[in-house]
Amino acid sequence: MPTSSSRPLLVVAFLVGVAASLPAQAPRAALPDEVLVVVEVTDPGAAWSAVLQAVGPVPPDLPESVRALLGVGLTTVRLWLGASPAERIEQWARGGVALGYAPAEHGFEPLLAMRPGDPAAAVAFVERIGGKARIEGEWVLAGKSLAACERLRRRLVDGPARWAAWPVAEASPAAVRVLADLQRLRALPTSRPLLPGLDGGGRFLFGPLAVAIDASERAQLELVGGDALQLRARLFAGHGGDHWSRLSPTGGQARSMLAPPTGALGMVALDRSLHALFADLQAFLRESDVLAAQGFLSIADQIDGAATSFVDDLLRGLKQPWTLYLLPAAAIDAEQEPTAPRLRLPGFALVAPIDDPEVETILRRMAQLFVVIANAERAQAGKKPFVLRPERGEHGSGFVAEPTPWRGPGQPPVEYGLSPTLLFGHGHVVLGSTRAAATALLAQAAAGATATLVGDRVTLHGPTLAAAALQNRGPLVVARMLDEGETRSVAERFWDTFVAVAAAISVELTSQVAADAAEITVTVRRQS
Amino acid sequence: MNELLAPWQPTRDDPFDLQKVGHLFRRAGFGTSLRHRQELVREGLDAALAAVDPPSASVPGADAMLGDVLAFGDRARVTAHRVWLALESAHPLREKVSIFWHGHFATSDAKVQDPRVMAGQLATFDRLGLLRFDELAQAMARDPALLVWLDNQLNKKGAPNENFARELFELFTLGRGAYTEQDIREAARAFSGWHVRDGQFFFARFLHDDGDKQVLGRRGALTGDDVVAAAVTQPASAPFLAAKWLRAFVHPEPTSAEIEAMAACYLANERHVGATLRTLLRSRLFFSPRAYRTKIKSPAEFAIGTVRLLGARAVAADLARAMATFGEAWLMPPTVEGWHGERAWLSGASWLLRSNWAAELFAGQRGKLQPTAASLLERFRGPEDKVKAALLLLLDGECSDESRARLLAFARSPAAQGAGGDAALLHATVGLPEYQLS
Repeated sequence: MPTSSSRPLLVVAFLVGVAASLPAQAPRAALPDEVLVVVEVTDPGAAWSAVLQAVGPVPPDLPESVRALLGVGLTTVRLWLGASPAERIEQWARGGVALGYAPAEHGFEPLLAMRPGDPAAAVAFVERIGGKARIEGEWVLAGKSLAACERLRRRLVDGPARWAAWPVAEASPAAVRVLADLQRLRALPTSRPLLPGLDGGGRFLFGPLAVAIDASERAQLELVGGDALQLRARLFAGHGGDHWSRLSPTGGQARSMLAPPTGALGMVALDRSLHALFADLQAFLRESDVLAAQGFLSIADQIDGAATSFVDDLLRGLKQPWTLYLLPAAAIDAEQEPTAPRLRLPGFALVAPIDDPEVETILRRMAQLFVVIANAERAQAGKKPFVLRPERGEHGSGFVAEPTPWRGPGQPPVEYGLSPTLLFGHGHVVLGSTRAAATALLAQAAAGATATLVGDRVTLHGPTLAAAALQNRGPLVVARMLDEGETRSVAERFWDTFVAVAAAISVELTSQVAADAAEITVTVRRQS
Repeated sequence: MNELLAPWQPTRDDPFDLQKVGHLFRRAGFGTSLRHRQELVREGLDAALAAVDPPSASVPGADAMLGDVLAFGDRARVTAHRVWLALESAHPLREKVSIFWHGHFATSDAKVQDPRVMAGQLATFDRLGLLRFDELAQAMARDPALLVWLDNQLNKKGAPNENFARELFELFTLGRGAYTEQDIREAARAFSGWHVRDGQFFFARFLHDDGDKQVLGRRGALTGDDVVAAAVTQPASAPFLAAKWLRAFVHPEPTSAEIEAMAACYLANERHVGATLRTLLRSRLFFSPRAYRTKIKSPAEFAIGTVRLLGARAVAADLARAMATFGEAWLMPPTVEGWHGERAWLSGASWLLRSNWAAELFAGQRGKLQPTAASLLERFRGPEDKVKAALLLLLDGECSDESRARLLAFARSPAAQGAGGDAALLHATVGLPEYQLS
């Protein structure tokens, strides 16, 4: 039995042994098996630098008051840290850090393992924020209580286990990585599967992804800096290849879409088949939603007469991908200003390739009918009709419904900025909110301007969005004053901040759900 | 001048105090903050009257703001804008009088279906509501919203539609019994061809009946203008309007003596509404016990007033929705008679709706309320001080002994302790019977 005088030596020898047993282990290896979610950074210094590089300098047009607020905030953070964030990261977690969440009586309990450059400083920090910490060799182990530290220490003593062996898909060492044990999370009493909670629209948009989440044993998220700030989420199961694959028919395969016209604000291209959905409602929807969809179909099937099936004739005749483009409002000159709406809505155009030429005939008839219905409703409200006229342009033909010239007092209401347009050409059908928007997309089809697409993609081009917001600044400010209770100055600052930030970035969201894997990526890129 | 409308003079026994300022701002506006009320008590009656009805007052950029509101073209935003004006206006009397005229010339967008012309009608009330009534009546006879609402679009030579003429006499100028069916038939001919085109008044010359007519004792090739002029100068018109103003600003059941005095004042002021109301607002009648807290708060007075009494900022769109829930949807009066008001405002159900809304407002669940309910009472310690502060904020410090005791008991209860306790106390104050009275 060791004497009391020899006990410190034994402890030191033990700690050295523990430390030696974990050479260059990933930080998550220090977390106990009961942890279900891990946030890990193997090289925090590099991660911080990469994030700073991606975020870049403060947008130049940020309002002075926001800039000042930001300055105060950053100074406060620096004062609170007592040094620069980079210095603190070096001190507290130079060799990596892993934060685990283990189920507890009320929610989750955080458990932290760090390899600090300065263990004493790391312990002091944890204690300053009300936690408990202990040093174990090269590690600082921390939690809300000493018991939590002990759980971490025991893991170290016992040697690496579950999280050390956790499969991690290739990721940058500079990434902030989140690993989740979905299988055990689903076993928690509070856990609910996603799919049953989704309504009809939710299943159409997110059904395949929900199936993947409900089936996947694990998930991995990474936030990476560098040229852009990118958040990537991976699931290691997909829709399983059964009927859900019909809803996302192209899976991970590349396909072609019309390239967004120059100046586009954004676009949405989804790998979803409305035809698949409506052709087999029971396979995808809950009973109540099936009834609602059947109700819709009972009307839709009559629009072009009983001989035309909305599903078999119309939807089947359109190919994927259907793509929605958001385009800037058409420019107007000073002469047009008094008769143009004060609120200048961006244009949109929905584009789909045509598979069956009969679709064009059906859509032409339906367009005329819709205008008749819309005008009848407008007449009931004492409003002037939209005039439908044929359109034969350079790239195709169709219809344009235009408002009658504005003669009322002041500027016209927002609908006078619309000219719903249906055009056909070069194997595509385009439904635009304005003639200009529809024509711009048909011109892309004529020029063969295409882009390659895999899965779903949503893009937002910040500078053009900022320009659109700036164009409508007055009404947008008033909307916040009335809807949010803000003063004019606060509302103006909100939109000026939005414009400044939007002008500096672009955002892209991509999503792919295949039979055995799914991936979602959000990329925020600074604009030069 | 009639004794009732003689200027009220503060005395040692009947001073110009917080209750008087509160009364003035509740009736002639939508209330004002405690700080403002206390300032005005110090500055006196003339200063308070000038604050409620300043010689020239406008919200900076209000006109440009209306353009931005109309850009959306939806009714909800136009309504929210009116609520915003009531919350922010530097001219409380104008806002109150515009809403009075909105109820008088009650026009609903449910039928008009054009928030732009509805906003135009409200702008007419803003512009003319405190000027001569005959000018306002003439303007309303050409108001596109009112003409659509009362079917004058269908009024044509040879096929007159009597709706507009009937309401002009019955609801806008004279009241029942002061005209004959023959007057209506003839007046309708005078308004034939008074139509609306492209959201503006349009005189359809070839649809106008320019033949001889006899209306209210006048004879000739009368036009709509002639009919309006005849109506507003009828002996029945002044008492009819006087009774309406007295019901709106003084007491729900005015006496014949009060009506007579008010009508005489109106005629003496050459039908100038502003001058008449200014006389009323500084009169002995207005500051008499007969007027004090004898009217039931309208939903607008309750909702907008609560926010203004607290000196707070709230979400105008939410207030508009709340008012609609309580029974007063601006731009959507239920009938051509407008809102009946008074006892019709309050029932067990509507009181509960008001109470629930107030609870959510003070708890910060109805959008931003700045300052928060908690911050208004946080500097007061102990139930007695908190109750005193809550009563000052919302009831000018005045309520029955029974209400005060109940409020104090609540303030001492566990429900009023800890986080949310101050909000609960304000909620309880708003739930007092006294608070439902204007």
